[in-house]
Amino acid sequence: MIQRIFTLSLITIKESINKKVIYLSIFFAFIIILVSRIFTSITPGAEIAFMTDIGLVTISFLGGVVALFLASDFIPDEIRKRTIYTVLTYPVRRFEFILGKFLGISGVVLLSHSLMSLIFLAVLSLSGGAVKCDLMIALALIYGTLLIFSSIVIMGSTFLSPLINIVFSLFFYLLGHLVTYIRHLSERMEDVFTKILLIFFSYIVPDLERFEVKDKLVIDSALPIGITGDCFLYAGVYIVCVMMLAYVAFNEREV
Amino acid sequence: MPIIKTENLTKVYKDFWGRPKTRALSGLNLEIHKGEIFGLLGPNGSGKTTALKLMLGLIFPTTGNVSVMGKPPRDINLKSKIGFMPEESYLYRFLNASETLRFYGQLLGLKGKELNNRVDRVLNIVGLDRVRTQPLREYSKGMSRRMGLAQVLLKEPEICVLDEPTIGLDPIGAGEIKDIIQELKNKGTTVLFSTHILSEAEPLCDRIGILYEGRLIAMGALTDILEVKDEVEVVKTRETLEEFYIRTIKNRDTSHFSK
Ligand SMILES: Nc1ncnc2c1ncn2[C@@H]1O[C@H](COP(=O)(O)OP(=O)(O)OP(=O)(O)O)[C@@H](O)[C@H]1O
Ligand SMILES: [Mg+2]
Repeated sequence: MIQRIFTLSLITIKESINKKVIYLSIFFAFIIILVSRIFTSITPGAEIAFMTDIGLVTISFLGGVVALFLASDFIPDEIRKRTIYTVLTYPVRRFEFILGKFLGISGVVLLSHSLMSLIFLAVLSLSGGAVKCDLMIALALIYGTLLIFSSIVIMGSTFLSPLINIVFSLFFYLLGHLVTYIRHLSERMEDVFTKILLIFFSYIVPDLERFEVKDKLVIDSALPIGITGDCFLYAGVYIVCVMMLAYVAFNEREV
Repeated sequence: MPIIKTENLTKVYKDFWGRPKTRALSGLNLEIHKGEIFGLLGPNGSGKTTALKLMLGLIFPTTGNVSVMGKPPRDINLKSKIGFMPEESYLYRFLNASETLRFYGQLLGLKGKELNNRVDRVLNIVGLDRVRTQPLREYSKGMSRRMGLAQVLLKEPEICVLDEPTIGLDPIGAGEIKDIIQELKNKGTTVLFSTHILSEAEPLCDRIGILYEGRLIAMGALTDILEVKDEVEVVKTRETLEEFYIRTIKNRDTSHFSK
């Protein structure tokens, strides 16, 4: 079973490697990071902080673009081209198929994320910035949010059309960055229905704020100890739940 | 015990809102026996592909029941024993022939030397040995068809379900496929295939079934079906399958319109 999931994810990676969106994203990351180097003069005295800020936002955003555009089409593409017929008449369970796709996108995103991170770290250190451990943690946490995002996109793709899925996943992703705000809002809400709706959303969207360490990095304060472990544990649990939902949706689907 | 059995199998395709759209198959009762070649005939849109997909568990019955070797079609243990060749080869176009078969071989749990040997053997049988490193997107229709069959043979299956296996092949290619089907039968494999090329079905099949508008309107052993008898049941002549097919469907058509 592990072997099969692995085989399925390798084929997914192999197919994705030819997709332009990966190379375009890396290219844009490169350009934006270089440009941020030039514009450091607008924040005298905080050049490195400025570059760090821009760099992390760019990497996070472009990684999201890669995940969104690739993952949203994996399963629809297999159904459209009917390659899924042959795969599913081999000894492959439906959840193995979905997990293979998820591992595949994790691999592709890891690849593009690493390349963008390397570019960022290289430009940063050439500009005299230190490559600190906390910075590496911040990059790892971004990868964590990308994994969560990918799993949501994969789940959506099992029952939504690609366009609706993209909108739906982005909505979740954005709300995930606003969890605290949604909680505050729900506390102040008078209307019971809206209140319940907000509370509901604050629990089902991923809490991506806990992965958000950029502000601390920029002002150079230390990250809480154990944050990596906490975040990855959270990501793991969240992804397992999302994958189970994906399985429920996909299992009954006719291909 | 039949190796494939359908009981009152009905499939109604639904539209996006879940409203019934097409009744593709109505109350199909079919039994395929171990070791036979069964030909599923019928005009375009009569429900042949639908019936085969139901037997593979790719789509689900609206009502009725399918069992393959006594198990529901989605049983995971069944899948290495039953091979399916879809209407067109829907394979990964960015892989070449040997990469494709290695991928499917790995899904079967094959490894190392065994995997290599089996891939080589299958490529030889379907005659794609010389183009094994060419990506499938560059294949001609006939070559893709052979790949579709290769993927079935790779399983060394007990049951082969082939949806119009010779469509798009030249006469020589079609002949080779027929030889492979005959070969499979000789080894004891059960073959169920759909076609509307009657001259192909006739020499090959032990039994046939004719689907018309989703209903099975004739079924039986070729030797029985094609005998035309007089009132006292004495064999007078032997029809060709084509004559039988056209007569059966025409009869059906008039009764259909008179309703
Ligand atoms: N996914 C689908 N959704 C809706 N209707 C479908 C679907 N697939 C097939 N049909 C309809 O079901 C009927 C039977 O189709 P099917 O593909 O089983 O025919 P067939 O006998 O294989 O025909 P052919 O010889 O052309 O391959 C047709 O009317 C077709 O339009
Ligand atoms: Mg068909």
